[in-house]
Amino acid sequence: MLDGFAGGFIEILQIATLMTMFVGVIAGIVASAIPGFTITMAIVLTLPLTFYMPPIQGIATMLGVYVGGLTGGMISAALLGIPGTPSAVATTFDAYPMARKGDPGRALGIGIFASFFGTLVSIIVLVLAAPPLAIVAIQLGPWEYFSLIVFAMTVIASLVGRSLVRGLIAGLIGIFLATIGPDPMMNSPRFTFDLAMLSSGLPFLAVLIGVYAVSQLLGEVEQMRSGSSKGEALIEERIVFRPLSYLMDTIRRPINLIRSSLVGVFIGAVPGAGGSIANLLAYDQARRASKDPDSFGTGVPEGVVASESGNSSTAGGGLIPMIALGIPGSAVDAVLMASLMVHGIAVGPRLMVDNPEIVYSIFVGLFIGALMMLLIALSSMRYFLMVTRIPKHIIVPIVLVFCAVGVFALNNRVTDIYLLFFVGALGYVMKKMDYPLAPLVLGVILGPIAETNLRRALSTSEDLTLFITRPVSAVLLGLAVISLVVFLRHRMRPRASADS
Amino acid sequence: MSDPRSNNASGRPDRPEDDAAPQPEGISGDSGLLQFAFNLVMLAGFGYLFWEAMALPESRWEPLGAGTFPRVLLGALMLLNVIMLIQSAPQARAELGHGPRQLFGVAWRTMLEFRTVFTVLGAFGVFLILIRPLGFVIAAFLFAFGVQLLLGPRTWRNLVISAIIAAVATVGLQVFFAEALNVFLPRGPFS
Repeated sequence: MLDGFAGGFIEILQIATLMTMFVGVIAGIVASAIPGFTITMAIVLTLPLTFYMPPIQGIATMLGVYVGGLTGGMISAALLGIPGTPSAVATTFDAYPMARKGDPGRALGIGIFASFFGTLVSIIVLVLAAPPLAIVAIQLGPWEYFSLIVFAMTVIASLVGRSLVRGLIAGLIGIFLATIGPDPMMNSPRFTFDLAMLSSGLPFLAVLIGVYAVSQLLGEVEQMRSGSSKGEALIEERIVFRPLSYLMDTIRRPINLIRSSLVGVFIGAVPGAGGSIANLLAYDQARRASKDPDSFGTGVPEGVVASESGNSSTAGGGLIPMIALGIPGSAVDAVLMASLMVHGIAVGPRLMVDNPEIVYSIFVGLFIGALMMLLIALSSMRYFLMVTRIPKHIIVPIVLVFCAVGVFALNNRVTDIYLLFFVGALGYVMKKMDYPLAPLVLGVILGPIAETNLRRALSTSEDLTLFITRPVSAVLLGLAVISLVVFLRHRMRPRASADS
Repeated sequence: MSDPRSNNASGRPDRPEDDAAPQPEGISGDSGLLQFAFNLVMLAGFGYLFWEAMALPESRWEPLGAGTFPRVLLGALMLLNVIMLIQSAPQARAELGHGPRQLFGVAWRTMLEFRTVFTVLGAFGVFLILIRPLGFVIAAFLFAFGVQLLLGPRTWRNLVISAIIAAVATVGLQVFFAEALNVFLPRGPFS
């Protein structure tokens, strides 16, 4: 193994490889900071460039984009309250309030270090546990997937706010929005009303950007309406950036860091899941484990650590089934796999035997990419923080234009940006009517996976008891029940004490 | 948005039973009448969609057809909206007691209070509609320039700065996406 790692370091530590990785990390950070521009899009755009590189340099460059992208989504989440990528949704919960309280440097600093440590933990797990974890992940059938999603949906419980009914309505609206368009099993159109813009369903990113970005920016306009505050910046206080202090802030929470990273690794290893679920699940687990769960959402470091380590650790987790079994854990891993296949390298169980240098280079490349991300992010963060000094009257229209471009770039369709408008207006109205938006977004993510796997399971066998007789499915459903019971007990306690 | 527990702009308690006595001066999320009307509209909308879902095809190959999952969702949404209607009804009834004239006054004041938000949202809608006929650069420039003027201080300095920022941002985006990413934003007749 040590020989393998030595070989991997020799392969990666070539000047040309390091240079293209460096550019890749910067590209990933910048691309993901733009709302609507996903890591997958950045990786896909990088793919053609890697055709002209040796395979290891190519995959190392793409890993650089990947690691940079997982961190970049945090920048707009923390500074503007708009998740740059779906994997940064939970980061808005605490990093943004922290920034608005006058500490944007701390929000970004903790996020950067949590991302770095999350990636490190995922590399360690990837190296040590790739084969056994991959075998577990691949044995999941539709019953287990459905149960996994049911478990993930219990996250909604901690996002509902103080009104359970409103939170549930928001979550169900999210799941319903995801049913618009072609039915996942039979492809028959649902709720499209013969409108071209609905015919292929609601693009998830249009919903995410509409719900978060448009409603958030309109909220900023609302705060400016008094006239006296015109021209004010997002954050008025003097911005400070103390990396060492933020490092200590992060490593003082080792249990949260490791738990969230392990959640991210596991979710990343499950094909079809990924950073968009991992950050919410890790945040939820951190909140439940906290002695002061009510402080979550007010700008506490624990929330930022959980979300950022949770989403960054999916990088290593997603590579586990890819390296061990040739099954990509996410769209990004599928593109990474494609980049190897272009060079005639078969990705699958024999990869470790036939091309060990590639596997060890991936391990080392991920580590070097994480180090580069840390250095680049820390050295450039002062410039990113300048965003918060720009007056709101400039930020609001320019970011709205960015959002429109980001949504258009998804499918090169103008109709998608019309959807952005309607979803944005819906998000704003819901926000004004005190409906939480986070369950809606989670519903859009999880709804289609739940429906597809439920229908697939029942098509295979109509026996409903399989959901509780298959061990992994039973464990996941059991965890979901425990999760709900804990939530309800926590919810009842303040009422009971108030009554007494 | 940033607070998952109390995701509202007003920061008021979410539970209707926690609400203070009805205040006709405050509307938006605070008003029981508005909540009642909002849930009534949602109930009607989900009811219509449920009726639409009844027409979705069943499958002979699987026990759940295309319509079962949405019907379950919409049924649950209708039920939850009925619960919300019941919860907000007492406050709505109390607010109705203030009389139509006072309620109209509150609604009018709210409209005035939110006119900047509605103007920006309307301008955004117009920008999106104009992208096709005018092209991205012109439509985005008009939107970015106009909204900066609307929200910013009305000075000559701001006028010039807003024009420069709008031009650089829109042309820069068009060039960046075309040259670096091979994504071509819609070009109008003048591009």
